[in-house]
Amino acid sequence: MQNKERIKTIKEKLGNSSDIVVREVNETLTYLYLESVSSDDKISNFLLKSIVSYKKVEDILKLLQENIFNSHIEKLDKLEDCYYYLASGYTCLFINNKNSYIVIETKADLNRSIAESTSEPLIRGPKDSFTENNASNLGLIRKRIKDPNLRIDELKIGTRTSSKVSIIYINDIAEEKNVNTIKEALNKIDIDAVLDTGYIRDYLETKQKSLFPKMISTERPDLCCQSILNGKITILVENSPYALIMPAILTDFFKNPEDYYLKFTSSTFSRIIKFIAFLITILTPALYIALMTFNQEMIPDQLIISLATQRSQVPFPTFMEVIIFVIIFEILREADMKAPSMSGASMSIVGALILGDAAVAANIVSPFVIIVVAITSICELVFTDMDFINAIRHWRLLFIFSTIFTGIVGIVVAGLILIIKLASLEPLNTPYLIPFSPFNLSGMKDNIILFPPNKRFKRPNYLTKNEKRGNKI
Amino acid sequence: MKKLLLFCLFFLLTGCWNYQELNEYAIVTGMAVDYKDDKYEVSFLIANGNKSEQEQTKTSLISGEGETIYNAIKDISLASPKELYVSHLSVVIISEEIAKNGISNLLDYLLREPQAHQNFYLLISKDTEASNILSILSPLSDYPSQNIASNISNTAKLQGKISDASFNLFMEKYLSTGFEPVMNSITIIGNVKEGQSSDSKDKTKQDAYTKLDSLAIFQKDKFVTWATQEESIGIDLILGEINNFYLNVPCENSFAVTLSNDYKVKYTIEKNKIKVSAEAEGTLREVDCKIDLEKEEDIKQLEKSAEDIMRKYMVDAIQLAKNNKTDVFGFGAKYYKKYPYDYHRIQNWNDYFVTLPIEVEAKFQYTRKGSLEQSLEREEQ
Repeated sequence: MQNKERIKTIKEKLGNSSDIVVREVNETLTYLYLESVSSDDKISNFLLKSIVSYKKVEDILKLLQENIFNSHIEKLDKLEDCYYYLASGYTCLFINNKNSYIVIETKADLNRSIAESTSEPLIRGPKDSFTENNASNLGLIRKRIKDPNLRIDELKIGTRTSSKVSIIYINDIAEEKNVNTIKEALNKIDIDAVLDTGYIRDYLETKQKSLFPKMISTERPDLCCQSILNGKITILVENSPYALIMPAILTDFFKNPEDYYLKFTSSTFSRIIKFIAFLITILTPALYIALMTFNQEMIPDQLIISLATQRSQVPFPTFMEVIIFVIIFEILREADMKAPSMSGASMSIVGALILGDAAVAANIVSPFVIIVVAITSICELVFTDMDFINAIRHWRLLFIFSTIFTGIVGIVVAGLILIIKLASLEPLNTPYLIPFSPFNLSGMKDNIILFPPNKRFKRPNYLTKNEKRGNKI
Repeated sequence: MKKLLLFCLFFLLTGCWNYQELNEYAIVTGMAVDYKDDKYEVSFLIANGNKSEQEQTKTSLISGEGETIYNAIKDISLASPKELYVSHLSVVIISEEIAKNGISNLLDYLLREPQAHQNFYLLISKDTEASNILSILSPLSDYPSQNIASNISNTAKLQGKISDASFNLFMEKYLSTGFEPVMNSITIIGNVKEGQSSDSKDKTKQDAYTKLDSLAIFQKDKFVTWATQEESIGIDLILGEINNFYLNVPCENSFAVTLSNDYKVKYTIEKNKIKVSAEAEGTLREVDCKIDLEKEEDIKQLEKSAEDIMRKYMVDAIQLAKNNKTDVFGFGAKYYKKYPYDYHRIQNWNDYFVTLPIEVEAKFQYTRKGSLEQSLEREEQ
């Protein structure tokens, strides 16, 4: 096949894109690359230097493969295959009158360097986090687990993006059934683009619908490794700094990679605090409405008088007061997250301090509502998983709505629905409330209460059949 | 979809049952019942007034008249812009006159009222109208009713002159056979008129204040007589409901004041005799005589005098009860538990109680002398 013909076909296919660079080295060799994703430096230094002397030699293909200074070299036959490689930063080297051609890796470094995690920072523990670079993400896991049984299975998903999706697990720990289930689900995906792990998470959901996440998403490689070593499966997607860990159970969201780096007593304490915070953040506004409008007899004597005096000038019903403020806070939160960090500070001052203070002074809300909304949102911040926080926010509103009509009874009903809902979830055949329901002793050892390391030498048996952690035990 | 519809029904069918905003309530924390011109006069102390300029909460006392207690309360609602809410009632004060005529109708109302918690205190006002008690402002507490309630619970813990009985304990005694209730009393020291203004509250020395007094003895729902302070201690000692009480133990010409901090009482019930044995431990709090506290005999002597005093208090209390034909110690209930058949043969327990010999035994032991080893008067020599 003639080089000119090939170049013409490629240029036509790419619509004469401006980043196509073609160089005819001599009458035999021509190479083509996309300068937007390739490194000119690499090409001139390693490719051009090593090929410039080759002209009409028999068996040039083999010679080139042997002599080019690059470890990523592939020989392709079909011209259609080159588009994936071109977009990935490879350079195509065509030889006149030969059907096969060579692609050589000449990727430009379009990645940010490995930095500290911004969404899940730790005080004590490794500081690295995933980036958008697939190879380095895999590297961060591989360098932690040097076991030859660590498997990284790769798929390409997305008809237009052809994104690499890696399934990472340890062969003899993770249940094969679970790995196959995930692979099947991933293979069924038929979409044009996978730009982030968020694109595939919904395809991995089981039939049961729930607001609570059935997988952990994290940018911490140490959390991924902890989970992989317990028999969980991690999914990484090219260009996404967030990994998915499956299956997740409710108590996973009360855990933190730091728990295992600190003394077990302090980890237990922080988990108990998180559990209390969970109850506070999901129940407080509903409880406030129930107590203020239905079950006043439950408020202590001294408190009810000050509550009634504070509220005496407020014209709105209690539930409206709470809903207005919860919604205002949600707006503030959205605004604060989306606003550039420079204007963020002034926003929180105007939003939280001035607005709250003025609303109380103007008798639009009672000061206690501000306390309620503030404590709810502060307690929410002890969790790091965004999906979990969102589930809490939605359930909090559900609790509020059921309380408006029926008071404490509404809280009990909504609470029952929540518990039934959670108990019915089974991500990858793992019950969502496992160490509690059904009761599981091996899971209990690393739950709200963290046992000392010598007491939890076995892996939780609901995730794996290979429970032994060490050689001796 | 069906599920969602069912879920919505849960809200729509219930329709805000029992919904009531807190600021539509007038929170009643105190209630006083007087009897005037053949009519009941009920006064409610309402705690949630609007904030005054000094950010202080105001309380207000509203009174109503009626032929029955409930009529009087409905008369109050005519004067109140908000719904009366009695669930946070902490004290109910009745006048001596009403107590003498019997309080069964009041007790019936209080038990029947669905909103009321039954852990408030019942008190008799001594030498004054019941509503006056609720109108005296105290600088130590924002609300007169809470001032009284915390006064009772704290005092009952620290000394044995009053009873820590809340309404439900009072009712427990009232309703059980062979048990007559006692009630705390409260009185006003000072000028009532001036004590009602908030000016008095701002003074260092108030024009008037409320003070707990001795116990009132009841026969069924009728008030019979007042006990003296010593008799009140005696009643509490026999009832065994107290832990701390103090005794003025005679020592030479003066006293050695003793605080007991551990107290137990046992009853031995026989068919025609009841024995009460009390046992207490205590410390010296004030020694006014030249006793040698390092000598064991002297301490033994003092312990013996303390036992005598305890016995005297209890015997006096029993005598008072017998004189008024009312078994405030609940011997009847204990007798009934042990000899139910004999109890039924006795037609009137209170009559039988008067004739029943009751033996009293007391034991006292000093465990500590306080922070001073020897009496100061002796040291001076």
